Amino acid sequence: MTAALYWNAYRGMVVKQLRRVVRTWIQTLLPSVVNAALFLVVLGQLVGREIGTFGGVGYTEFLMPGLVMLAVVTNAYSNVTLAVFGAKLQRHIEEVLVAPMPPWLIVAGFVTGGVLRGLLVGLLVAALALPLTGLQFHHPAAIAGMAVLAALLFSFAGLINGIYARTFDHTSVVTTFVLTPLIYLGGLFYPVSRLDEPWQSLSLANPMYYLIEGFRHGLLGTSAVPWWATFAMLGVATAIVGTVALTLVARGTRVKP
Amino acid sequence: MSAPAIALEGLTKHYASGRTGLAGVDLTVDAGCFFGLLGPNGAGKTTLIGLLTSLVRLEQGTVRVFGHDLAREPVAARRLIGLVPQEVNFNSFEPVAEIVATQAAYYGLSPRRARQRTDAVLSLMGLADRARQTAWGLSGGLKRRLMIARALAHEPRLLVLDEPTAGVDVAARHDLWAVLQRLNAAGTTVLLTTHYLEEAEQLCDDLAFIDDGRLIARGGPGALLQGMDHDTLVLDLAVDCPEPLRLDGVTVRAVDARTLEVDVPRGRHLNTLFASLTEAGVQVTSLRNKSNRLEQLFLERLRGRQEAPA
Repeated sequence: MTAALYWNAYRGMVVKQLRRVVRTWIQTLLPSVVNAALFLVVLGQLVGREIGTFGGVGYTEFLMPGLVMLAVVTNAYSNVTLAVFGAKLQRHIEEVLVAPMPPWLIVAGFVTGGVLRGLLVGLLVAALALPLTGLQFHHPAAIAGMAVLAALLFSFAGLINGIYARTFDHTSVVTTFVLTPLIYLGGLFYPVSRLDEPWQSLSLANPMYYLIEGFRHGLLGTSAVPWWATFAMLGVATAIVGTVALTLVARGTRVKP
Repeated sequence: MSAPAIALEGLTKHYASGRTGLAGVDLTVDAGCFFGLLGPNGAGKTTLIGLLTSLVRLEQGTVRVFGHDLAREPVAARRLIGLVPQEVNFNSFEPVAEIVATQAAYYGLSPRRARQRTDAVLSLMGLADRARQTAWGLSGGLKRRLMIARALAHEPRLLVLDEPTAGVDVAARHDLWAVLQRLNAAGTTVLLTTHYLEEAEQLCDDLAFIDDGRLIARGGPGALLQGMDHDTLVLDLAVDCPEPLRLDGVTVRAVDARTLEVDVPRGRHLNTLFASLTEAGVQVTSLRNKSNRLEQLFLERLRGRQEAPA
């Protein structure tokens, strides 16, 4: 009885999230695909000819894993942030607070929406890049696992952002000023090994570096970081950030006086 | 004997701002009752509803809904409650039917059952022809109806309405009253807060007055009105009133030359009042209560609390 109740409630939350994504596809799906297309054409195809190869792959191929991961991470994050903030702003967060749904189910509903949008946009970017790169999927299970874990981690993080956000500015600050710069500086456009010190050591402290390199390993079969290091980093970070998100929802932080 | 619909014990809420929302409220509402909670702004009505419906963090005291402890059995307790909040709180960009069906899903209804219930409650609330319309375009009154439809989607045994007719026109208000009376007659327990005291007198068979986070009076409208020490009547006169007018046992105030206000002690027959007026040469053309009697009682109780020594 309770399992059926929870399943229907969870499905209700996920359907609501997906409907919002589809209804506002120009804002939710298109921008990342257009950005990735521009990077691939301008940097990959035009500038890339001058650059040559990195680690035995062409520059367009080198760029592609990072662009997919950028799409997955930023879309998962901003989807949950805006869903939670919008629900607070219009007060329809109360619809889930009064319902017979435990906190973990509320978290699961919001986060699933983020994960699905992140993966969907990631797939769209990959589909766009494939004709330009002739890429092979060297380790499909690792690719899928890392994409899901990354989307999960940043959906949890987006949930925390959405809970604390008081204005629309607060919903975009982290994506614009933290996530995107960290990904850009985490080896998306260049191999970190080519940097001089101290920039190389500083880059190794950037968690996005491991994410991009791990994903690059799955796609290209070559990477500066072993795949298990990426999974370990993602697993630990997801557990920590997920626990924080669940605790905040259970306490009713910023939503229950 | 069935468990009461609502049983609150020692319910206390202090907000972070330092304001006390509730100060040890004990309240029992019988199953099947149409219960009215009345009080001035900031008295604690919305806090009480928030604690009952999990919108406010429960700090001290217990809440039981049909015997289910809200803290220990939140799922069992919450699925029995339908809430119509004071403020519009749905996603205005969603279609009407989607809002109701989603809420039904949150309460565990399967997609098929949710669709059936959505159709049923939208018809009940006169919104069937608006099902595909985005909620954004609804008028204020229709938005209220949508919130009631949404609250009814999962067939709650307890319907909680926080000022549901605020800002609703007179005809729509009477329509809503009829719907609520039908639901109550069918067995749904209703908890209503309202500023319209004639609404409470018309609908409720049990009432509580709340002020400053405490219950200050409780009982059926009839029993509460028995506690009034006088009625204030307004008399319209055919000719100018003779000055000064003194009547035995009643207080008379002249509003103008042809209008009097008379405080009639409870228990005094109006026949004797009219006999005295006739004797004084006063011809009365019409008579009415100065205000809704419940409103008068409510104000008396509030004044009584304000004048009582701390």
